[in-house]
Amino acid sequence: MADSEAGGAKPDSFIKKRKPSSDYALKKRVPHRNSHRKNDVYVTSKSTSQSQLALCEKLFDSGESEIFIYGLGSAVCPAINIALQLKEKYPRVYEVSVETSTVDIVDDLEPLVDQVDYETQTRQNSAVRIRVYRIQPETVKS
Amino acid sequence: MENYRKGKNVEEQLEREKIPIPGLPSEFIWMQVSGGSKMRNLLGYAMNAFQDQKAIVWSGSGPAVSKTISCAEIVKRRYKHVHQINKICYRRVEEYWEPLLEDLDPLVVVRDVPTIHILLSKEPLDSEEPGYQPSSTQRIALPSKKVEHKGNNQSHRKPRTHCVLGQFAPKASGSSKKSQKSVNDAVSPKLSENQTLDREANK
Repeated sequence: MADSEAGGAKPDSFIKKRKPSSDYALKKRVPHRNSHRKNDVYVTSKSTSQSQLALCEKLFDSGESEIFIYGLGSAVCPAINIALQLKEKYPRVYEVSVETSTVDIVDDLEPLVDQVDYETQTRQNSAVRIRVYRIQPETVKS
Repeated sequence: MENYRKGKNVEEQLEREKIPIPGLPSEFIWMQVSGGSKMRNLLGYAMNAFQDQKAIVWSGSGPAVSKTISCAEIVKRRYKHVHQINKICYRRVEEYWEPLLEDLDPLVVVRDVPTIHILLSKEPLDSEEPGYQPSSTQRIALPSKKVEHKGNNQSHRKPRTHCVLGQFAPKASGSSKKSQKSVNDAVSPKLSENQTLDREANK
């Protein structure tokens, strides 16, 4: 998970800045994804929880011993939800381990008037990486 | 649902003893973040209070989870060598809906809302615990801060190591457009919380 603090340690950068002035159109750039292994599941606010949950189950069925669920910004809550659903649906089989971090997000500011030029703006958002792993069940899993 | 009107919400009360983090110290600051909490206020209080206390727990549910994580991350920037344990769980919320029409019964909707508890502690924590997260300074092997003049091999720790992780250089503080005095004052580094990084060797 990108754990960079390079954007400056200003606490107010956690508060999302809308476009600095009406001379720009704000285009959000797609955030960087560090790893693309088979057992990485990236949750977005547009993805449905049910489908992501089914994807996680499928990954475990296909033999993965652990999966990583990533969530950024407003998708943190659905990501946590999916991990907890897995834990509740199969009690005592899975354990979750959560890590939090800060991710730099870059926005492109496109000029709407001639006087200004292309700019970028860096914001920061909080992100979560949840490791869901199989623990040895004492009894046969139900 | 048009025939109903929102009544009250009953949220399961969080209690200090029931926080699902094992090994909590007896005294800690408990910051409960709700959807309408202002981060400025939360951080203003927390930064000051954490100077004297050894541990702080941030708890938040539902829409406040993201804000909770942000607050904890900001505290971590200021207090770099803290140990962290994260726990997620559900919190039961009952919503009472009152009917607008006479012949309908009041409705109770029971919802489980995802909740996160983040413990930040200056004392070392159990690193085998699921959810344990070392401080970002400990992930990278840094030379020990204790300068032992045993021989000429030990190089002095250069301030560069701090700059790698966060530009806490005092010159950065002057350039903020919006100065939030209470929080910006917290940004200037206080290196008095020196904890040796010998723990890295103990792991």
